[in-house]
Amino acid sequence: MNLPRRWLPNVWLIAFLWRQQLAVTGVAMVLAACFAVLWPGRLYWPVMEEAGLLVMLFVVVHSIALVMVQGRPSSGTFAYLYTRGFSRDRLWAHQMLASAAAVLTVALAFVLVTWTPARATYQDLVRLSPFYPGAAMLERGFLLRPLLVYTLMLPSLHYVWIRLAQPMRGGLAGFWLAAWLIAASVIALGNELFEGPTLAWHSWLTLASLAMAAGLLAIWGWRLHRQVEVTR
Amino acid sequence: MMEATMIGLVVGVMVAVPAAALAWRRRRTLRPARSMPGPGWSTRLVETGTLGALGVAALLPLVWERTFIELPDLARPEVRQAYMIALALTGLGLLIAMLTAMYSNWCGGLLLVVLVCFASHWGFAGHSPTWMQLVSEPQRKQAGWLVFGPKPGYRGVQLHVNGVHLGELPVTISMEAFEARVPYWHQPPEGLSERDLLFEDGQEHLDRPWGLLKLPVRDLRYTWPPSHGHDERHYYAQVELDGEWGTFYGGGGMGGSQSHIAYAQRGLRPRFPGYDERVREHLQAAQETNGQVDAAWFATMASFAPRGETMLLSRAKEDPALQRVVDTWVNHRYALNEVRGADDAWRLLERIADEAEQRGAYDMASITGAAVERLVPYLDPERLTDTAVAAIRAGYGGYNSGRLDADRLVSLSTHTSVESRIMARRPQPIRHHVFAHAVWTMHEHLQAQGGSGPNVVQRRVLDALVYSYPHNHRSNRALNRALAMGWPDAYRFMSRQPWHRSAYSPSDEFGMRVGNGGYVNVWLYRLLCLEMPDGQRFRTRYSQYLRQTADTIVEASSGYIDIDELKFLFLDPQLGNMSPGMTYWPRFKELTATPQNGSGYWGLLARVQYLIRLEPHATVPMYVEALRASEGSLGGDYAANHLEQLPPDKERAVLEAWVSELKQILENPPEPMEPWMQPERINEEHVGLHRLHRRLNKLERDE
Repeated sequence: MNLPRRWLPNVWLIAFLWRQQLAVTGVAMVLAACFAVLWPGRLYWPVMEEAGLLVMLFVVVHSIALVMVQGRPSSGTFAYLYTRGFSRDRLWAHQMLASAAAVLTVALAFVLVTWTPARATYQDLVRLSPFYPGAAMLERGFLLRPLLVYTLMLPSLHYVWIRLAQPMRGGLAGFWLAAWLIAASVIALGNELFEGPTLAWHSWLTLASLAMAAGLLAIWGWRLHRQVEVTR
Repeated sequence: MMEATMIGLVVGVMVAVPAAALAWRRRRTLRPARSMPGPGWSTRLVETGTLGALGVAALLPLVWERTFIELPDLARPEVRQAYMIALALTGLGLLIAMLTAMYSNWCGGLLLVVLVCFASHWGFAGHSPTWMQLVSEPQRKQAGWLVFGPKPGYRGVQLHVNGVHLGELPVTISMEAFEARVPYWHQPPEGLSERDLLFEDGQEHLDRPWGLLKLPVRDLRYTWPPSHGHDERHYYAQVELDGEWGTFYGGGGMGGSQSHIAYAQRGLRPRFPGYDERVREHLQAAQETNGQVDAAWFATMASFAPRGETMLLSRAKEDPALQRVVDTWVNHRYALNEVRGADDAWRLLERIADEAEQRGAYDMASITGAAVERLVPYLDPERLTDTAVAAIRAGYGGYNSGRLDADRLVSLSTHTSVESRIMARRPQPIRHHVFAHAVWTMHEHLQAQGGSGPNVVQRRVLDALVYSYPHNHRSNRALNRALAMGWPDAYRFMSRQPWHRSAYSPSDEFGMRVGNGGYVNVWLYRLLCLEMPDGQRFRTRYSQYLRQTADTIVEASSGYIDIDELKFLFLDPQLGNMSPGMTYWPRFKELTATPQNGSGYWGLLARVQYLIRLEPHATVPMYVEALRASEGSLGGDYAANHLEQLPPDKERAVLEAWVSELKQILENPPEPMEPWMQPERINEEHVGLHRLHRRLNKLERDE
């Protein structure tokens, strides 16, 4: 594969950030795959019970872990990366890309288990579940909600460390906003507000408000990232 | 439990994250916070905007749900004004919080937003929202609406209450307007007493020209403390159609405010014998011309809608002439004869669904329903099935229009008539019923065509219905529908459930109540009742469970036994004398002869019903055993009347054997069952011999 030479720094940057997240991604992949195979109930949103809570908890913890690995301005890795001559905007964009790639890698592990006969076969032949293999067809859209929560959560969590690394007071504002957004996203997307075949229009408004909040934090995070203090 | 965990998670996140932030901040900052500048105006603006968006996201569901609920009440100016004030106060609170965050103290602003959210929850949520306290006391008590409906089977029915004409059914009127227009009568109408309208147990007499309405006189939802109750007054309704005063045959019987919707409902089902007679005469005219009718006939028939259509379709099932009329009418209205292929048929189905949605009603027993049934053979089964499966995948429980939803598929019975609920929070999509009707008609069509193995509806739609339905052991409507339609996967699905677990009480997850208080495992019971080859194998293999279940049901039925609850005993008649029913008979006879399990009259009735279900394998000596187990008393007429279900020869043989048995009893009277009974009272009349003679005479006369 011949990549243009000007792309090489980008590839190096992605690879560097990817390697940073390898441990978190590896653990998350294993957990996601094990959950997908072993979970005895149906992974189908309207009928899920405690599985919904577990999945949302996983999404929250995974997102926080991903962001904490990347957003440590006092670490040596961070200082090394920020002194290689990359522009701040390029660094920010690649951090977002690396986060998205890490999430998609974990999602891929889940998809491989649920979309192939692996889960259905295990549930049918080993656990003798009454729902499988028939219910497997319903599980294909399962990841949409968790991915939506990731989309709302990751920019907000990145904003937290970017805001804290600013040479200005009031760094806790980012924490409070992220905490509120996480709670609201988990409740809204894991709750009856979004049950049923189609959403009521006030549910769409709620979702739009959350998306607006996440969008504002993402855009302003990108702007503030230009002034992040490397403290090592 | 789920909610508590969710709240715990949220609170944990809200507390743990700032704590971690504080710790992190303290360790990592290069210089003391006090020496740093505050955030710039742009950062403040963004963070305040985000705070506002999050506040709106938290408030929207709360405020908007209540708006839907209060919608009928909002038509009243004073209530609307109070509601708008409450909304404005919420908005003002949010604005002040955001201004505080922007120009003063960001954390203070955050705190204020949280306070506004809590205050709004207090103000808007719950059965008795606090904002209603802004409405004056008399207005508050009169809030609420009365809905008289649903639509009767006739069009243009006029409602009169206490002599005041209120309009065409269904009638919706505010309680305020109702009280202003309709006088209250302290006594029933002249020449009528409430005993004429009500039985002593409160049940209504049928076919009375006056209907008794028990209406709430004021709505107490907004009083403090909140109350679901209401004061009740009796009003008297009359219905009129084309100058004919109708009669009432039952109705919803519901009066009073519902806890979640701000109105009362009263179901009114009138009947107009004169109108029905005119429809019958019109149908008679079509029968006389062997179904050859002209446009004028259809025009008159259309004026009788919807009652005329219902009567026509009901009679057309047995009359080919009327069947031809239905075909002509369907072709005339929907140009069904121009349908050339699956695409044409699909377009027509969509058109019918759209029209039903616009009309706000769909009745399977109508010309439109007949059109759907005639359209089904032209439809592509795969396309229809794909639509149904996609709807099921989209989920249960939604009420937004536009797509077929899974609840429609589950709830549709053979003859369903639906209409948009009047003043419903969210109008129900009517078009879904059209598709659901088509899906189940397709199943019947494919079954009638024959073919090996399960059809596409059974394979795909039923799979999706059951697998995606919320799993409830005791009550599972999707599974019930699938079982009734011969779901091929039923045995595998149910045999993997915990059917062998014991279930003794209501608290058992799998316990199902049978008889007068006995509990059996619901999955075991479903498996025993499975009408498939797999079901027969299960009954044979686990015959001990079968006997235990039957014992539980019979022993729990103190007195009357519903034989249908024992239907699993009679599903394998092909096994002859080895069938479960035949092998269980001695046990059943023994159990029903004990005083606590229906000795005497009820026991005999149960045994006779049991033997009739065993026919043709039940023998005359078995019927004699049934009588003997009741200690010689025939009791009333019912047991003997049930013998009518037997072939005449067998009925005669059984009656003669019983006569012989009773005569023997009279010759050698047994010990009386009751201590107070004197032996000399055990006479021909007591044992019921005269009843048997009467039945034998009737048989002879019939022959």
